[in-house]
Amino acid sequence: MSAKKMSSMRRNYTVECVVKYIVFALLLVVMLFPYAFMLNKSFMNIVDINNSGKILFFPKHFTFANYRIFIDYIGYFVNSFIVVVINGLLVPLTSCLVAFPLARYRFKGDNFMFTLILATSMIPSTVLQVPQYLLFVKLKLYDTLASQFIGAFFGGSGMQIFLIIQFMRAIPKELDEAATIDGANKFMIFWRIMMPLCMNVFIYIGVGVAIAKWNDFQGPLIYLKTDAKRTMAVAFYFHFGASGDISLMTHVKMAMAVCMTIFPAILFFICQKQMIGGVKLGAVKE
Amino acid sequence: MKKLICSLLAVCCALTLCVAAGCGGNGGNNNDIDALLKQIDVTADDEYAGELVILTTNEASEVLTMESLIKAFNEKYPYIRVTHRTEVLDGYYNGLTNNTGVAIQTGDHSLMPDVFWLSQDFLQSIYDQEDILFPLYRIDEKDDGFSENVFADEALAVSKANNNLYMIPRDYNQVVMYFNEKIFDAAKVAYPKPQMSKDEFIQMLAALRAGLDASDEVNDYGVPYKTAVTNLVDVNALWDSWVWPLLKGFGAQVVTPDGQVALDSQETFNAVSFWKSLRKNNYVGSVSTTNAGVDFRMQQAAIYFHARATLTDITSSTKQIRGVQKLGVTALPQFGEKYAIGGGSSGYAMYLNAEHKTEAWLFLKFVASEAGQNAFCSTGNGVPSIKSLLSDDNAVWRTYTSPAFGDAFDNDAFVYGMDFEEKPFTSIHDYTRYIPASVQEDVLVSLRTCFAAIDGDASSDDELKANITNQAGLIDYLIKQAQNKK
Amino acid sequence: MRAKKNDSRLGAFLRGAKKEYSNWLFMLPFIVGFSVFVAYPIIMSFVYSFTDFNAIRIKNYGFFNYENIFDFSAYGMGNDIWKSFGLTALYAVISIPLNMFLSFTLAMALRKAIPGIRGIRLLFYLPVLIPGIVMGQIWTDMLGHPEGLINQWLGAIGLPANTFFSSEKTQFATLIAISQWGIGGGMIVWLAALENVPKTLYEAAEMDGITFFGKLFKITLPMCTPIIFYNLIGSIIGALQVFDTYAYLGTGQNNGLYFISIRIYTTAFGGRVHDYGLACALAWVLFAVIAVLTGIMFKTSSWVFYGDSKQ
Repeated sequence: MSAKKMSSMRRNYTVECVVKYIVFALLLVVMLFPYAFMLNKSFMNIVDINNSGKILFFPKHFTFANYRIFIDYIGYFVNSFIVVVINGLLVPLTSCLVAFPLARYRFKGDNFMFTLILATSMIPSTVLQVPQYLLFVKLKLYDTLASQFIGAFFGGSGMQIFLIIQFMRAIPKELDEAATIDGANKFMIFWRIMMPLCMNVFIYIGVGVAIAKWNDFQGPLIYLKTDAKRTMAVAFYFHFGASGDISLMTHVKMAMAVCMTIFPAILFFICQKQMIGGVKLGAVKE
Repeated sequence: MKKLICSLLAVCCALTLCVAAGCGGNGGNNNDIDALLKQIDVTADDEYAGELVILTTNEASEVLTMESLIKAFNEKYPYIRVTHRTEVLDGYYNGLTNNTGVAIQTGDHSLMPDVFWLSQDFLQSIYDQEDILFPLYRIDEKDDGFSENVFADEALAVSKANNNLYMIPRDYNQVVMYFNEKIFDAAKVAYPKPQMSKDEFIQMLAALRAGLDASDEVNDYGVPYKTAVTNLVDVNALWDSWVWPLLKGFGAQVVTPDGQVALDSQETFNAVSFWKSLRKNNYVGSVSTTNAGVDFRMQQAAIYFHARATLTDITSSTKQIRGVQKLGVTALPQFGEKYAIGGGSSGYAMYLNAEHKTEAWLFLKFVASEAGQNAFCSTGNGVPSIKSLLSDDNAVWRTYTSPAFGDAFDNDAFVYGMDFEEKPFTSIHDYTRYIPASVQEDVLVSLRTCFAAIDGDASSDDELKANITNQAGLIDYLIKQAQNKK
Repeated sequence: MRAKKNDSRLGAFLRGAKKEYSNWLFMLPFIVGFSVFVAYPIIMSFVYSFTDFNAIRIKNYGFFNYENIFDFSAYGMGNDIWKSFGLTALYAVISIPLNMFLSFTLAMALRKAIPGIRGIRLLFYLPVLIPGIVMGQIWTDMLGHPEGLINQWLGAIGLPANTFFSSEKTQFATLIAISQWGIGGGMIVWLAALENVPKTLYEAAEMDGITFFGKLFKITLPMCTPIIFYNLIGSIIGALQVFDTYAYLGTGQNNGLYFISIRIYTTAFGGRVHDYGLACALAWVLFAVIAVLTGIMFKTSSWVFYGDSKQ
């Protein structure tokens, strides 16, 4: 390539970058507006919050004091962390286990199982609530943290298994055949070949589940009664959802909310590469 | 494929039959009250040892009240260990229902509390669910040391279902007019008197508005009143204890005593258009506000319509919420031809299959006793429900005072009209007893919708009238449907 | 002779089963979990749909719940219920394509790794992380009428205030608009899918002089069809069960945002009389609708291209 062409390509690249940055900046102003609002509110004091009904965007009385609320929530943080880690690791694992035969092998009943798995995600959860509640009580899972992660042992939701199936289907079968010739049984094929290739989908689902469980307050609300066992999300709801003085402290509520978004944001940032860049299907050409 | 479907259907049918058979056993009332009664020892004395589980909501005033009650209870019965559980109001009644269902199916009643807080609004529907409430009137018959006549008639009326006692009323709540004396002083307007007429009320509001605009005084946050006070009156306009008395005051009816729907009338429209005029003049805020009381407590409203139960919330002063520091109170104005004051009671009920029935009954009796009532009233948040204390000028609730009270804090406002010949006190009980219980909630929603329309798109007079007619038709249909079911 | 014949059929089955049992072993977690945590509640809810179960006792059995759902007389329940279905369908039909289109465009824009792209992607994803209970407060503050933040700013620049959520006419459009703040979530899925398109295909096509739109429609989209399909199914299931708006908008002005999932919830748990039986019946009708739609999607899914794998 001539030097002229290279420099013109570099110029094009720079122009492209600048244009993109400007567009992104404008878009982000709009997209991040709610988040910025939440952040601003967390720095306000009570006068700014109420302000006779005129909503303020920028705090008139800037204060960090609201963030002190996090200290009260450290116990709940531990509970949330346990639930999220167990779910984030076990759900993708069991989902991959379940998805594997459906993606790779034909057998009697495979369509039926596939339909069944998909059907479970189509059921409105409201309706399962009452019988499930009875079930959990009978199984002595009421008011235990285990009620929040017991489901993780049994595979994720239908949609997650469906996603893994889609990804697994695109992996070439030659790998399986090669391994079988070498004498590997199914489990070894799964563990040594499939899993490493599915690592990125694994992480994608794991992070997705972790974030969902982190923010979930409806499940824990019904099952966790003792205050010490509560997760952050439901403790947040319990304290700020009640009427009374605390629910009026919107600024403290926002500070707590900002704190709650930090953990998933960090998780997402760390795992971004695996989640997005590098879920390679069919590119394994060895 | 066909075989698959057939086998699936067969399995489903079989399972359905099994489950249905298992569930069918629950369709029938196999609670033997007499056997349950035998478990209650009405002769238990102060030395009785045991345990008790009480459930209330987690609102600050409720928790405060329960803690003072438990403390006084333990002074009398030192060997009963009390556990206090709380639940968010949002899921409170659902939790009761769900847990009762589970308790019945598993046979383990420890999920349910022995005693739980109950408000009059929910008494009827909880009673209809069966299996939740213990018939307290049966214990009353058995126990000579207790009589339901100790309660004021109004409190007693709302504590009964099917004319029998199911709830011990803890307080007697009457809606009153609180006002911020400092704001009145700033606007140079005279304090309101009890039972003002409608015209006097509106004139007072207009004078307040003009006076505040001319005044430079500031509230405790440093904001001048003329900008801080956007709506003069703070009230939850869709509160059932506000909507119904307003309608009644204008002469409107929901149902006649023989069950005919009479909502669609000129009187109903008069009530709605009165409120609309208040709204259009910005005397009151949004009809469906969820933050009633906040403006008043932050010194941004001059008047607040509520009951005694939230008194300490109003006056308490934290760095964040300054509360009202010069609080006056008087009886409600008379908005229509008739004088109607809303109110009711909340109290405590006992679970039908409570594990600690004797302790529960001891607690309930204690709440109804002077010692219990005084313990409750010492928090400031209560007007007692028992006659002896209501008529006692030196009772704790009258002598309770706070530096936040102004000169015009008149305790008589809380019992205003009790001694009138035609008592102004009215609760939703006045009409809900004429409609089937299963449609009560729908009727309440319909009444609220008549008023909520004021803030909506369709708020011209004709549209409001049409809305009222529509709601009346809906109530009529629902009542007929419920009656057909029986 | 006879013994052999029987043996051959049974034996074949057993031999087949022996080969296949390992498959079932893999699926064991799901089977156990399903039977315990899903099958039992589902069957119970199906039974309840034929009763007047109120979470404590059953008193009547019959088809009355289903009759009520299809009762279209004046004031009959059917009118409101199918209005809810209609609202939900309308919401799905508008928001799904809009959402997919916007998140796909966003992913295309953020695909190339210019400096700082990781941070930029995170920023677009941030709104998705805000807890729902808080999101509601933020939107009501911003879009209140007439005193919301946006209306204040509109007033400052001389534009008339919009009624946003306070008016029946504008609430639906407003809801669709604010749902688009969640496109960060969809963007992630698309980015993953776009990474999968082999670069060699693009290089080969560029040699032949392909345009941008050519690349898009002949290479990118076809290779992404499995994900498009997955997203479509997921979006349909999700949109028909939309519920989160209930926490801060209730059922909307004149029940204009009373989606079917919200209706199921309020029938079961709202109000003072829990009509759990009716809620179950409603849920089964909803399930039937979703199942039919999904079935149609699958039957017409020949456009999905799985590349070099089994189909």
